[in-house]
Amino acid sequence: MTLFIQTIANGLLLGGLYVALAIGFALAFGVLDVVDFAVGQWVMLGGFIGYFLWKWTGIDPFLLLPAVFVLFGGAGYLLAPLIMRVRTSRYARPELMVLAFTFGIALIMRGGALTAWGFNTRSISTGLGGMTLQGGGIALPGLRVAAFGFALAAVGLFFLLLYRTRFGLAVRAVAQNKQSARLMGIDVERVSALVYALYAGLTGMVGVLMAAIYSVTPEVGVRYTLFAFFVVVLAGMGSIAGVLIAGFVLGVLEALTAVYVSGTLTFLVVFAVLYLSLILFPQGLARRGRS
Amino acid sequence: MCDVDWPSQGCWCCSVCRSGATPTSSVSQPAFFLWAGLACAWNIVGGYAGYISFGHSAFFGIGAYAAGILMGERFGLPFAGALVVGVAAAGVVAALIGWPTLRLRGAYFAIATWAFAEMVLQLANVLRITGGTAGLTLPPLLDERLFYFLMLGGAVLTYGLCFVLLERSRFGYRLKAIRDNEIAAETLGIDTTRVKLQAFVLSAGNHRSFWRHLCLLDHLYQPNQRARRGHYRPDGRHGLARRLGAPVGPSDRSSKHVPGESPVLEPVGEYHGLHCRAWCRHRAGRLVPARRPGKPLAADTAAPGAARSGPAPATGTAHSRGGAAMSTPLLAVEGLRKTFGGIVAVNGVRFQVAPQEIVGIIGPNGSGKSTLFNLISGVLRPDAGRIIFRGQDITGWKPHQIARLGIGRTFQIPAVFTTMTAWDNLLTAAVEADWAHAPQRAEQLLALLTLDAVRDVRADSLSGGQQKLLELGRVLMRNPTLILLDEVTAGVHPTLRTVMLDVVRELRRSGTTFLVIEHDMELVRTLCDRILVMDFGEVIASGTFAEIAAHPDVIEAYLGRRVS
Amino acid sequence: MTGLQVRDLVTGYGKVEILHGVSLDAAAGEVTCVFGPNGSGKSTLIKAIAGLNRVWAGTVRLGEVRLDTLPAHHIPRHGVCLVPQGGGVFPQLTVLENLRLGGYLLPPRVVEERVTALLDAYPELARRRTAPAGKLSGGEQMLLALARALVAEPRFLLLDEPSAGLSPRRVAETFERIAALTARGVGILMVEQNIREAMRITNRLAILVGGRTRFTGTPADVADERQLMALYLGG
Repeated sequence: MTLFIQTIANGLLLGGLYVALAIGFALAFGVLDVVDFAVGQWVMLGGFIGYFLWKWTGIDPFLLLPAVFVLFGGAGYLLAPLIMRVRTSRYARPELMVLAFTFGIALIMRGGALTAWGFNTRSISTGLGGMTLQGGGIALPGLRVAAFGFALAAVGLFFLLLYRTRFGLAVRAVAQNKQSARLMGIDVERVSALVYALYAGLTGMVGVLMAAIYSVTPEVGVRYTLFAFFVVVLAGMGSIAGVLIAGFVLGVLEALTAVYVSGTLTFLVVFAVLYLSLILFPQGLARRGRS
Repeated sequence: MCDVDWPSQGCWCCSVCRSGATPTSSVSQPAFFLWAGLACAWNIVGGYAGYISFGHSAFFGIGAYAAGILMGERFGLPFAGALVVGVAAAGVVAALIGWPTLRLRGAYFAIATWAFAEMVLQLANVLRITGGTAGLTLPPLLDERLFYFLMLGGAVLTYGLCFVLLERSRFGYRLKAIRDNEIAAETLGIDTTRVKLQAFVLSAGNHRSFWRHLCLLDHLYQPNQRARRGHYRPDGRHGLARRLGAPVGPSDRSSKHVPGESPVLEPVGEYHGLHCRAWCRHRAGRLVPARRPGKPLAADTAAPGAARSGPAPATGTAHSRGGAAMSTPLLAVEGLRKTFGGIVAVNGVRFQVAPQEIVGIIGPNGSGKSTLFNLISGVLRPDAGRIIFRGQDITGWKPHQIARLGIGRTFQIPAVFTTMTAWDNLLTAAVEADWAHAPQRAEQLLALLTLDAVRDVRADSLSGGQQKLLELGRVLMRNPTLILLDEVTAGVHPTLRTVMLDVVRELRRSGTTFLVIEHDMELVRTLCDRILVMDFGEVIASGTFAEIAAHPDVIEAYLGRRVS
Repeated sequence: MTGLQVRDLVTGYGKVEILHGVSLDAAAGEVTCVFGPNGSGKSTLIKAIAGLNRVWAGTVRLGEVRLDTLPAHHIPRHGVCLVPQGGGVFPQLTVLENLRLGGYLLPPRVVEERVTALLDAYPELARRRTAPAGKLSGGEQMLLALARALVAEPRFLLLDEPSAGLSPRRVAETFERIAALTARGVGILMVEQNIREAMRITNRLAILVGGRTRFTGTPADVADERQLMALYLGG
C-alpha cells in the first residue's frame, strides 16, 4: 500500500511540472492558433542551456531559472512573427503548413543539438540533490519537491498574469475574438508574439528542472512533445482548467506504469492513450470557439 | 508557361551528379534513392491529398520488419516471399489505422499519425521478435555495385510511376481536389472517404518496400534508424505535390554526407537538409514547370474500383432529359428544418421545382438561403423534412452520392481548387463522370466562359469574377440536371454577367433546371420564371417578380418591421 | 467639429470587389444611416472605415487625419470606434472585463471612472456585471457592446446593423439610445437593415445598392416607401 501511495505521490510531483509545461503550450495554441510540434525541443534546449550555464558559472540551476526565462523568452519573441507569417500565408492549408514548419523547427533543434553536443547525457546537480523528505512512510526526494514548488509558483504567476493584469486581459480577449480585440486598440500581432515568448520562456525553465531531475540528451525532446500533447488533448484544447487536471493525470499514469507494468513501456502506454483519445474523443480538441 | 525555379533545379542536378555519378562504397548514396522514393510515397497522402502524416515511418518499419523477420532463422522465407508479405503487412495495417484516423482533420490527423508511429517504434524497441533495441541482423544479399544500380533503377522507376500515377491520372486529380477543397470535391461526386483511404494504403504498402528492404539488407534493422527515416519524410515535401520536388530534400542531405557515415554526421545532413528545405519552402510550387494542358490518360491506372457513374455524357442533348411530365416536379422539398445550436436556420421550408424552370431565391442575409442549398446538396443533414429529386428520396444522402445523381452547385464564396490551374479545375470536375471526353468539354467551356486566356493560371490568382465563372464551368462539366447557383454573379463584370445569363438560358432550353440565389434584382427579374422569398428560414412569398414585389411581407422583410 | 469623409472607396474580399467607389459624409452630432439590400456592401463599407478591411482605393478622413492607411488597432486612438455586427463581445470575459477592454488605450483610473459611470447609466448591465458576456441575451450583448464602445468617449461611433437579431422592443430602445448620444456631440454612422425604424432617428441617409451609392439626402427627401422599394429592387 505504501508503494502505491509513494507512486502516486511521485506521480503528482512530476505532474506539477507537466502542468507547467502544458499550460504555456495551451495558451500559445489558444492565442496563435498554432500546434507547436517543437514544444518538447524547447524543453530539451532548456535542459542543455541550463546545463552549460551551470557548468560555466557554477550557480545553482534554481537560481539560473530567471536567466533561462529571459533567454528563451527572447528567442520565442523573435521566432513568433515567422510562425505567424506561415500561419497566414498563401499555401494550400496554411494551418498544416505551420504544423510542418514547427515540426521542421523541432527537427532542426534536435539535429543541431546532436551535432553540437553529441549523444552523451548531461545532468545538472543542485544543492537539493541529496535531500529527502520523509513522512507517513513515504520518501519524497527534495529535488522533486522543490521542482514541484517551482511549478506551482510558475503556474500561479501565470494565472495571476492572465487574470489580474491588463496584459492578461488583452491576451484572453485576443484568444476569444481577434477582430474585436483589434477594435479595442489591441495590437494582436504584438500580443501574440509576447504570448509565444512567455510560452518559450516557461518551457525552457521546465527543461532546466527536467535536466536536474532526470538528465538531458538531444533525443529527449520527443518525449516532452508527447507529454504536452497528451495533457492538452485530454484537457480539451483551450481549457486551462482541464490542463491542471490532465497534467497530474499524466504524472500519475507515468508513475503507475513505471512501477507496476514496466519502465520501458511507459511511453508506449502514454502514446497509446493519446492515440485512443484522439480517435475516440475528437471533439475534445475542438471545443474552443475562435474568431 | 514555364515556372521553373532554376536555383533549385540546379541544386538537384548537382546533387544527383555528385552523389549519383560514381557508385562508391558510401552507404549514403543508395540511401538517397531510398529516401527519395519514400518521400515520393509520402507525397501521395501528404502532398497530394493534403493530409500531413508524420506516421509513415511506422509503415516503412512494419513492412521492413515483417520481411526481415520472415527472412530470419525462424521462418527462412526467400526474399521474394518475404517482400510480398512485408508489403502486404504494411498495407493491411495502413488500412486498419487509416479508417479511424482519416476522420480527423489537419493538425489532429498529424498528431494521431505521429502518436501511432512512435507507438510502433516503442513496440519495436520492446518486443523480442524484432530484436529489441539491438535490431535484427541479416546477411547481405547483394553485391555493392549491383545493389547501387538496383536502387538507382528503383528510384527512377518510382518517379516514373508516381508521375504517371498522380500527376495526370484521375486518382491524382481526386487527391488534389481533396487537398484544395474537400467539400467542393464531394459536391463534384468524389467519394472523399474512400479516396483518402486508398491514398493512405497506397503510400504505405507500395512497391517502395522492395527498395527499402534491399537497402536495409546491409544494415541492421534498427528501430532508431527507422524512426529517423520517418523524420526525413516530411522533408521530402518541397512544394506540395510537385513530383520532382520530392527528392530535392534527400539529395541536399546526401551531398553533405561524408562517406562512412557516422551517427553524428547523419544529423548534420539532416540539419542541412532542413536548412535547404526551409529555404525551398518559400519556393513551394515553383520547383517544377507549371502543368501544360495535356490530355489526361484515358485509362485510369490507379484507382481500383472507381465507379463509372454519373449523368449523361458530355455531348448529351436537349431531348434525352426533361421527358418528365410537368406535373411531376423535378425537386420537391417538404418540411425541411435545420437548427444550429439554438438558432433555427431553415424552418419548415416547402416548395417544388418543375423541370426546366428557373427559380430565384431572394431574401435578407441570414434568411437561410445558403443553408437551404447546403441541405439540398447534402453538405448538411436536415433535422427534419424530406428532399425528393426525380422521385427519389435523397434526404440524408452524402454529397457525392447526390452529385452523382445529377445535382450540381456553386458556392457563395468561390470554392475553386486554389492550387490548380483553371484547366485542371475543369478536368477535375469530370473525374467522376465522362473522363474520356473531358478535355473536349473543358475546351468548349473555357471558350464559352471567355476563360481561355487564363487556362494555365492558378485558380487563386484569378479575379473574383473569373473564379465565379470557373466555378460555373466546373459545375457544367458534369452536365447536371439540376443546378444550384449561389450568388454566381456577385462581383462579376456586367459583360461577363450577360455571358452567364446566356449560358443559363441556353442550358435551360437543353433541359437543365436552375435554382438561383441572387441579390441582384434586375437579374432576378429578367431571368427567373418564379421567385421564392425567404426570411428567418421560411418561405414567406412565392410567385412572379411583380407579385412578390407588391407583397406586404416581402416589403417588410426588406424595409423592416414597424414597431408602433 | 470634424466630420467623417469617405471618398471613392473601393474595396472587397479576396479577389471580389464589393464597393466600386463609394462616397459619403457623416457630420458630428448627427445620425447618418446607410441603407441597402443584402449584397450591397453595407457591412463591407463600415468595416473598411474601421480598418478591418484593407482599402484598395479611395480615402477615409476624419477631419485632417487619414484613416484608410491605418491598421485597425490604431483607429480607436483617433476617436473612431466600431460596434461590430452582433456586438462582438468577448464571450468568456465578464461584463465588467468587456467594459474595461473598451478603455484599453486609457489610463486605468480613467477607465474605472468611466466604467462606473456607464454601469450607472445602464442598470441592466450593472445587474449582470460579473456574468460572462456569452451568457447574456442578444439584446443585452448589444447593449454591452454599445457601452463598451462608449468607454473611450469616441468622437464617431460606427455601428454595423445594431438592430440585427433583436426583438422589436429592443430595436426601438436601441435606436433611442443611439439617438441620445448625438446630444453629446458624438457623430453616428450606422448601416442598417431596418429602414422603417431607423428613419425616425436619421438625420442624413445614403442608399447603397450593388456597391454604389444610389441616393443621398435627408429623410424628407424620400418621397415614400415605393421609391425605396424601387431603389432596392430596381438595381
